[in-house]
Amino acid sequence: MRKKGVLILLALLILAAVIAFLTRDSYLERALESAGRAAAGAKVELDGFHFSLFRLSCSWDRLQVADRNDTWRNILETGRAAFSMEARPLFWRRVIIRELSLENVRSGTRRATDGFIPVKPGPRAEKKPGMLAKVSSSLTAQMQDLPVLDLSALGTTLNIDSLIAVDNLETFRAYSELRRFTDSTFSVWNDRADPAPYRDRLAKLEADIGSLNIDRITDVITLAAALKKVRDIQKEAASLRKDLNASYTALAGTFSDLDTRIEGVDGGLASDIERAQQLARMRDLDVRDVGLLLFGAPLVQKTEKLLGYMALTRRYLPTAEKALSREKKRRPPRFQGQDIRFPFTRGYPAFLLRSARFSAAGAAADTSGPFFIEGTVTGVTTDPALYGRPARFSLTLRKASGDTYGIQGMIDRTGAVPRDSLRVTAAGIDLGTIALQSGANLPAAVTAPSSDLGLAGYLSGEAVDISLNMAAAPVTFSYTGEASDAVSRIVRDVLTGLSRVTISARLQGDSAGYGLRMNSNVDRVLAGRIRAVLDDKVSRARQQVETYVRAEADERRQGIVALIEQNRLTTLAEVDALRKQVGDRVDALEKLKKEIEQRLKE
Amino acid sequence: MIWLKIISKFIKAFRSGSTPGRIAAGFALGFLLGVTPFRSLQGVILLTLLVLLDVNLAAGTVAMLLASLISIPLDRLFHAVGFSVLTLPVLQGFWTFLYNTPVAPLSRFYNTVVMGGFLTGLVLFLPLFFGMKRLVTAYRSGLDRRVQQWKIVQVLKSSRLVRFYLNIRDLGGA
Repeated sequence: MRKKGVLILLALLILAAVIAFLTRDSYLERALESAGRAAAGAKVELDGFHFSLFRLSCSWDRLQVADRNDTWRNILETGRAAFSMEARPLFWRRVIIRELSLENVRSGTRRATDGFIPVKPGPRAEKKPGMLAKVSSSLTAQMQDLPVLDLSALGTTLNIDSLIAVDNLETFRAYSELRRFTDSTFSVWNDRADPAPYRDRLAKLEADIGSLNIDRITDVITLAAALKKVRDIQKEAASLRKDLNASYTALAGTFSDLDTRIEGVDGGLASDIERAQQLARMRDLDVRDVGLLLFGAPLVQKTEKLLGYMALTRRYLPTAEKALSREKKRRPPRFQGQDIRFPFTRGYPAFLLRSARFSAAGAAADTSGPFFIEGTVTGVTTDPALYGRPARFSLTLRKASGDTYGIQGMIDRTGAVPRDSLRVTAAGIDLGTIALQSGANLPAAVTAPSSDLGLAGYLSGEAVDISLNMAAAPVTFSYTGEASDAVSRIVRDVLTGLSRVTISARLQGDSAGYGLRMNSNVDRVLAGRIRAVLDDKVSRARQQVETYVRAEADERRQGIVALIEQNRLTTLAEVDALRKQVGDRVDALEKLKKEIEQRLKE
Repeated sequence: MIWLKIISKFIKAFRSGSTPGRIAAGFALGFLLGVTPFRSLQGVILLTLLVLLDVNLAAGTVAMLLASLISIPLDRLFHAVGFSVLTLPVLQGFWTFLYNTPVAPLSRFYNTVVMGGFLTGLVLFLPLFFGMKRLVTAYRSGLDRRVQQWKIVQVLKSSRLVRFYLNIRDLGGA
């Protein structure tokens, strides 16, 4: 044993311990802030971070997570937090937190500095849109598909070309295809049923018959030879008749097929007219549409925000299947080898927060208008399948004004299919002024100082079912301009008389499609009165679209029909005439044969 | 300059001073440390042993440097060795047991390059020890004189770099 070595080692150990003691907190603080920034996309700041190696505990005095959509506010701010880690799992580099206690938890607090961080634009792999993106685009499409309520858009002369691209309609596509098919069919038939060779064969046949001259034959031997020749000519005539019959039958079949095809395309015209009217957003006004026209925009906006949070949980809390596939995809970097995984029987996830307790009791003095958050979150882990239990949360979000939201939910990633459920309840909350769908005839905003709401639903794999019930009283609608037409006046008349609005909405669907249904107490009365005004204008506009589509379709149809008729009159008629002529020759030959045979008997 | 000092110490030890056994042990231990990633449990243990045991530290340092350098091109070989050992069906039970014990995973034995490098170092440990011991003995018993007469050694000795180093060393009172 080297004494000097022991001393050097001891000195090194003491030095390392001192450096670690002095720098560990700031080092860990920086590392956590950096990881937080990457996840949140905005500034994350920790103050007074402390790590105790002997007690395996961490604490901080303040945490601020900036909202990347509004970088002068925090999406989360906490006061003092403390937690301890379980010692044994750390041997396997697994972090298990027993209980995290967070004080003065708030959301929406004002920041003293801007929380913006520049995001490096990097090449992103094109990804298949996920379920939540599909729901979002379905909602946007549904909102865009809503009928026109603006009377000025239903003027006497519509520029239909600008509203719809008729070439995209099914019937028009089918006519184009049929035209191509007809052209190619006749081009083939013009080669196959060319009457010229038939005409040549018929002329030869007639020449052969003419060369017989049996009246001039007087001896038996020449008569017998003539009979043989007649039989040969009969064979050729029969062959020609067979060929002509075959051509005629096939050609007639082709014409019949083309007629059937035209009829088939004609049959789809009615639904195409309907489709064209929809493309021009001239659908009949439905009761459901009124609800969506009035309250759809803010609801879709809030739903998209909610779906965004759901997408975040799906991104950071993957299902077992996704986690495993990510493991499989990992490639060993050079010089670092490959980690071979062996069955881990200890059952420790890489990260597990057994329980987090939020408290906001000490933050009452905050006047920046945030939400004070209280409640518990349990079972947040990176390996839900291993942990075997879903993450659950039960939170209360309270504003200084007294508005309180109760939020309970479950994020279940323990199986192959992600399942999330959410329940939100609130009573007497002030929704403030909500911007509504922009439109000349509709209110621009609604003010609802006291509302009750209940939201409940689930997402399971690709399936979504979320229901919202809301009642607001009193409500005040505001408009951007003066009422300019009948619809505007009706809308104002009906909405001004309302003291209470009740809305029930349901977002439902699966991989086959998603749809938002909405009902409100305004729907029926407003829809009925608006429809009485709009119906006449809409039906006139619809008639214009129908006339336009029919005329366009007729033009295309006529082109094809003319081509068919022209060919029917030329190719088919000529083959038929030749067929009849050959038939006459066959009959004449038979008569001639019988005459020769009679003379031979005599 | 620290490296020149270490090499100079190693050459000095090679020629006289430290016993051949100490030089050989330091060299073999240093080599094993060089092929083992330092950020693992066995890396720390080996480094501690190198410092604590009465072996030649300069030989250990030179061997560690050499082993680290040759490890770069041999990375694929280490990976192949480690992979075959870690995936050997007969050893699966043993590796699983080790993986589930509290301390063993800190050695990162489950990594193919770590396992391959460590095994290669272990296999070469005794041959390196005895080989180096023999080389030192042979060097001291006559090879030294012949080496000193090599042209390359003469050229190196008269080179500016070596003279510059010697001047600096003498200034420091070495």
